[in-house]
Amino acid sequence: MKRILVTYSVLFAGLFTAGFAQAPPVSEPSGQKTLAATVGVYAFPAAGQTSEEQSKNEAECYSWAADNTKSDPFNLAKKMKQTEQSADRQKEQIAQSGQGAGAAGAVRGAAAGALIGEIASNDAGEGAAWGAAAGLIAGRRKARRAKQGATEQVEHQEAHQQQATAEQIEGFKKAFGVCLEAKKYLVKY
Amino acid sequence: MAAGLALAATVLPADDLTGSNRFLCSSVEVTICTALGECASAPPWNLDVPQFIEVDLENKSLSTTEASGENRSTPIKNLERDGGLIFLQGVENGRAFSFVIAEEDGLVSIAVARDGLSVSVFGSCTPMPQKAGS
Repeated sequence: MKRILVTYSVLFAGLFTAGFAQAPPVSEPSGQKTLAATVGVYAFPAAGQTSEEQSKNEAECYSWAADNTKSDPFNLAKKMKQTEQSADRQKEQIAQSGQGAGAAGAVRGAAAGALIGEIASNDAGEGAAWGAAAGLIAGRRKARRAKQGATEQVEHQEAHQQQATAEQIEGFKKAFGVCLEAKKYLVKY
Repeated sequence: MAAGLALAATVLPADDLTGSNRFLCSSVEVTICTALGECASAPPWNLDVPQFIEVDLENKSLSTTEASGENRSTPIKNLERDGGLIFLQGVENGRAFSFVIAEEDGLVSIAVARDGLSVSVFGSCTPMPQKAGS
């Protein structure tokens, strides 16, 4: 994990040396994050640990938490991304599937004995254009409903997996935080 | 459709239905349109539209003639006579239908709608004698 920690700049040293002689090093405000901050956990070295010690402690706790929770946030994030991509692919496949399947969805006409109810039955006028058109309409509608159901199922699975992954990440953070607290850090996540 | 109406008016002169509760209607011109925007005119038998329909307002029923041997009938759910027109409506086997019959000249306009299809029928009607006992 690449990180840059600084001690005091000349300016900050001048300002704070008197009041915060024991103040710990802080992260450089350059967008670089500590290992803990990268996974959304913020640790303050309450016992005056140096940046090197903090870095070492965080690495140890990361490893400990990963072992104990059987989850690694970086892998989980990757997995979450893969799940999302996989769901997108499935939804795309669903959207592209069944094109032209409508012709098979023709519904036969009503039961015998109905006067109005038999008008424009699909079997009336065999081979007539409207029979095929009616079947196509019914088939398209059926296919659209099926697609909608399949898409909803994929979305449901995706949401379920993402929730499970989020819970794993949460578990990791707890373990990571407990470990850092044991090493005299104030932890928030 | 307009041509069909004109045909019905010219080829099959209809009768005055005022006061009559039973009449015989003949289908002349049938047009079918799909939701895909295709329309076609067809002979009645090609769409299972009976050539003749008996309308019985007292019994609220539509039926094929005995001579046709088809033995088909449909109940009328709503019936209204207003302004010289007779309005009949109903639903059967996924089809909604409306009849508008002009009492003065017997011209009938019929619309049947089913899922994704509509059928327009134009024809003419003539009074029938009351059934015995009615």
